[in-house]
Amino acid sequence: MNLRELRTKVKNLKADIPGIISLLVFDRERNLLLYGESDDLTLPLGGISDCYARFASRLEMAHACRQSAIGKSIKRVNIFSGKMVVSVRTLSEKHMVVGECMGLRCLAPLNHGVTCLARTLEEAENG
Amino acid sequence: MVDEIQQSDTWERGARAKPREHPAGKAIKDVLKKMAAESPGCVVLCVYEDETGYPMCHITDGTILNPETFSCFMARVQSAAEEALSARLAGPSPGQDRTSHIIYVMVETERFTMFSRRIANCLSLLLVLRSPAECLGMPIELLDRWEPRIRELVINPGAYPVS
Repeated sequence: MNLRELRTKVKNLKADIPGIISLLVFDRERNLLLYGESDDLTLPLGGISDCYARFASRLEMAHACRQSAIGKSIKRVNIFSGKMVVSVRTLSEKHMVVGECMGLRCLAPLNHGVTCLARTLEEAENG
Repeated sequence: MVDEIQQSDTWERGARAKPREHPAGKAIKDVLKKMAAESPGCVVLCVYEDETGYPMCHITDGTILNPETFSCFMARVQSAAEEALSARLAGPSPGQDRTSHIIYVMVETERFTMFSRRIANCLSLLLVLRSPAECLGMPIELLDRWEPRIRELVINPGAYPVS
C-alpha cells in the first residue's frame, strides 16, 4: 500500500468515526510514524506518535515473557481516560494503528475503524 | 530489555514464594467472589500492588495457575498507559497523582480480556475474562459498582472485622 492509498483510507475512516480525535499508523520495525491525522492542536502529530511508540515498546516488553500464559499476541489495548479513549491495535507484525476519540460512545466505531485499517495494512503487506 | 524480563521473572517467582495477606483479605475475597458470580466469563479477579504487580488478594476459577503473571503484566501496562496519557495530555509527570488520567485499561489477547483499574494510591483491581469478552459494558459496570466497597476495605481494613 502506498502512502496515497494509506492517506485515503485514514481519511475515509476518520470521516466515518464520530468523535474521533486522531488516527495514526506506525511502522513498528522502524519506529516510524507512517501517516497520521489529528484534530488536536495542543500536541503536534510527532509528539502524539512518540507517546504511543513508547507505550507500544513497554507493552511489548511486558508481554514478552508471559506469552504462554496470557496469549501469544495482543490484539488490542484500550485506554480509557477522563478526556479521551485510546485504541491501540497491533494486529500486524509490522504495523500498529492508534486511534483516539472522545467518550465511550465512540469506542465501538473506533475499535472497528482501527481494526479495519490494521487488517488492510496486513493484507497489503502479505500480498 | 532482557534484564527487565529477568527481573520480572524473578519477582514473579518471589511472589509465589512469599504469600502475604491483606488485613481485610477475607472480606475482599468475599467481594471478589460476588463479582465473579456476576461475571460468568471471569477467570481471575485480583487486587494487586501497582509497583510490583503482586497479587495481594485474588480468586480464580481454577483455569489460571499463576494469577501473578496477569497482575504483573497489567501493572506494567497500566503504568505505561499512564505515562503515555500523561505525556499525551501534557499532564503531571509519571508518579504524580497517577490516578488522575486513567479510568481503566483493557487488554485483549486471543485468549483473554483483562481490565485493570487503580482503586487506591498503590493498589489496582484486575478482572480477567475469557476472550472474547461477553459484553464490553458489563465488566466496566461491574468494576464501577464494586470498586467503592473494595476501596473501603483496602483503605480502612480495621473497620471491617473478618466475619
